[in-house]
Amino acid sequence: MRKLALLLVALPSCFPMEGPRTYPSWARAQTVPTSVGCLRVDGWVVQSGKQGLGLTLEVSTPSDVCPFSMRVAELDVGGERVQAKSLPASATLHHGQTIWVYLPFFFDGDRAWNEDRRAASLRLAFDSGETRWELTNTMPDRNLCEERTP
Amino acid sequence: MRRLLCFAPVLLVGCFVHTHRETNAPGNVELAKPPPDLTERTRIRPTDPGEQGVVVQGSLTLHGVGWTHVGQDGHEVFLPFMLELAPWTFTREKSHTNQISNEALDGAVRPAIGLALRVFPKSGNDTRTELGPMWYEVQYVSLDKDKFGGVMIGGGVTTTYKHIGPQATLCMGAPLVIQVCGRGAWTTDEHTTIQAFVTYNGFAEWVWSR
Repeated sequence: MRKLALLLVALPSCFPMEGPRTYPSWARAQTVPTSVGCLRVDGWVVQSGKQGLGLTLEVSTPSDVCPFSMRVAELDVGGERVQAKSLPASATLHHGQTIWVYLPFFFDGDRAWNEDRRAASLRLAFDSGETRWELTNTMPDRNLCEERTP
Repeated sequence: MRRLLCFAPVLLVGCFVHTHRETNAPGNVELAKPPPDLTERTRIRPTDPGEQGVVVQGSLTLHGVGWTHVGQDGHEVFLPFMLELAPWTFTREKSHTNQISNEALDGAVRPAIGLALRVFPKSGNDTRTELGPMWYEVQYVSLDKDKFGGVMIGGGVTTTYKHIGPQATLCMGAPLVIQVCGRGAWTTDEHTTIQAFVTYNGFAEWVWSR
């Protein structure tokens, strides 16, 4: 009888519950706006996954008038260079005006993850100059992707 | 000691080795679709890509009896040890938050390979022990609504190394834990064999993202 009780106590430990999955994602290493000529450019990774990553740019100007014309948006994911799917239309920004631009970068997110490529570099070039941002994967330890605390 | 050995497998019943592999960890995103509000500094949570995996079921038998033509006195045979391994793969649309063997087991069609140790009683206290037969089956498992009780049916071949023949197995009980089984086989040397036995089941699972 005592053995049966022991067995009943031991069995539930064989059926552990797990929490929902967490996913690795990309983020900017620095989160401060950058000045590129007369442009003030900020941005953040809004989505990332198997298909690549999507970045939102927030562009404004401290000047009275500043032309906004993007020439290059290129992501280097550990040696794999990817261009943004499309570049935004040119515009003229006035003081106090802000525009937001969405830039999708398609690449094999699974392959980058499986090959342990955790750092990326983003090059943004405008008519008024260019800047480079570093991106990192927010999941430093691969095991964390499967740590599922209920 | 003998009682302890008899009881030991019961403690192992229904236990799992559950391992997450780390490949393909990113989730699914719709990159072509811009976020609904570009001004919001939020991160869109990826959707669950589902998962796939491999499960190996190990079935241990320590208590079985049989009847076969090769016995010396009355044809009885004792089955003090049988081990069977049955691996299969699975794919799921949603990642699990619970143990998955029961979900993966329901409806599984899988190969199985097994080996028995047989003891034939002879006159007096004398016995003859032999390793065999081996069997290869294709098995189908069906669980009931609560994913605990169920049946397993299998069909394949059995071999005494020199001879071969068809074999069929039916098990009932809780496939995740313990089952009562019956097996019939026919080989050219031993002719008809019938066995009844209890299996204690355990699982090793490897799961990774799709």
